[in-house]
Amino acid sequence: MTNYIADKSYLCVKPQVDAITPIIPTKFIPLVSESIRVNPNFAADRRMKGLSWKSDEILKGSRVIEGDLVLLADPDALGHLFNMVYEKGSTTGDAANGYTHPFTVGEGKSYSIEISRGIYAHRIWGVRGENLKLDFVDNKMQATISIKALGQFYSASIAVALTGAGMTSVVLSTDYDLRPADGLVIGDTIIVGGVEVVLTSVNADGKTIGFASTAITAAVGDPVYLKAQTASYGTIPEPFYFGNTLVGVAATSALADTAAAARSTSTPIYTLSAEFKNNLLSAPATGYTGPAVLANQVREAMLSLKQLFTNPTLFQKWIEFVKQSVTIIATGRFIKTDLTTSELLTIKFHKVKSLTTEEPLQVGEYIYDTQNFEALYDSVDAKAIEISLVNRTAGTSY
Amino acid sequence: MTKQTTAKFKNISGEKLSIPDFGEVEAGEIIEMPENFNNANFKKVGKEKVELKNSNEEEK
Repeated sequence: MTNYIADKSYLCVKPQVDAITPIIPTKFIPLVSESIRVNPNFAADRRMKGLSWKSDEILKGSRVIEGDLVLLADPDALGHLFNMVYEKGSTTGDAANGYTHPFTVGEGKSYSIEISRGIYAHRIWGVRGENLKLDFVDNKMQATISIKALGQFYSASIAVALTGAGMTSVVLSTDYDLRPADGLVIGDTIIVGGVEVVLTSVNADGKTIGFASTAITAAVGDPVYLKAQTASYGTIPEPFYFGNTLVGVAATSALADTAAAARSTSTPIYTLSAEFKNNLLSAPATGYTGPAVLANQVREAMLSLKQLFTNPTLFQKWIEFVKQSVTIIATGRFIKTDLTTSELLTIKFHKVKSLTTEEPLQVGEYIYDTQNFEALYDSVDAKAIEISLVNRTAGTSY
Repeated sequence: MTKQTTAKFKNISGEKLSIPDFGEVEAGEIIEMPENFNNANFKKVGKEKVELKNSNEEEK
């Protein structure tokens, strides 16, 4: 038996042309950890059948495919994560100066992603970002994106035996889903009966896949796997760093921008995290074992800041729920060779109000204000948040 | 003895790529890899039957 170490695994992503058309991913991104799971919600069949034992079978519930991807938030990878959550506007710039991608509250793109385990690939498609959390771990910005997906292909089984020479198609078992081939794409390499074939067709019936004439002998129930790709990485940027991040806190967004523009005017923050949530609709629908669509519902965002206590002003602003604006600017490595442009992440919270403000006392420690903010829609600026990302990735990649 | 057929693959990603345990491949560069090399950033552009021998075989 062959065993595999996780370090050899990969995450690969690519935006789909629409929500329901899987694509072979091509952008390999270093992965910290993942917890994406297929949950068919199996449960014991509890009908009365004359048994003195609880059950003799299990039955399917509504299927859910969801979980977390944890990455270091480098400027290129972060673009894909924001693209899963928010709508990217028109990209400006070029390779020499960097590309500027604005993200606004709108429909994000659906993605196909692939995670390998050993020589096997797990393709998850129709992926949308449910929640994106940014925080810092040991100075490095870390992104945790909670995703939901419409479908997946990892492993299936043969429904009709293959009998030797001249095989050109295989029919997959429908025990898992009436459309078990959904997620496969022409050009995929699959392993059927221990033989590798490249798909030349994925039948509209959702269970028959075709390939060039090949000698394969395989029995009903034999496994069919999606073969993992050999990973290939472009230049991997450094993540954004806590120490290269400035935070401006002020009465208006314009003043917060000004404050965040320089270290001398910014507010030193000791703990910083932000979360952007889509609250996706993922209800089961007829015709689908899981959700038919993953649609945005009301969006929300949260912000947590911890700063040194100087006076009770933050307490007063909390109990009187005074509006504040926060601008976060994280600067990465230079892009232009004369060092005049750099990788840059700018997040503007136009109106935040503190839900909780705590100033706990601990022996031997400085007093901090620890605040959790609700990001609110600002009727003056006509927006709640604004995100801009400058990196080395052209807008066509998103 | 291990025999493996190789083929030529072109980097069609538009960027320089690094393949673990292989090395860097410039955009547009053609490399020779085992015929079952599977990476969507590369397109098979030719087939050249070359028998790669394993290291034990080479030592003999």
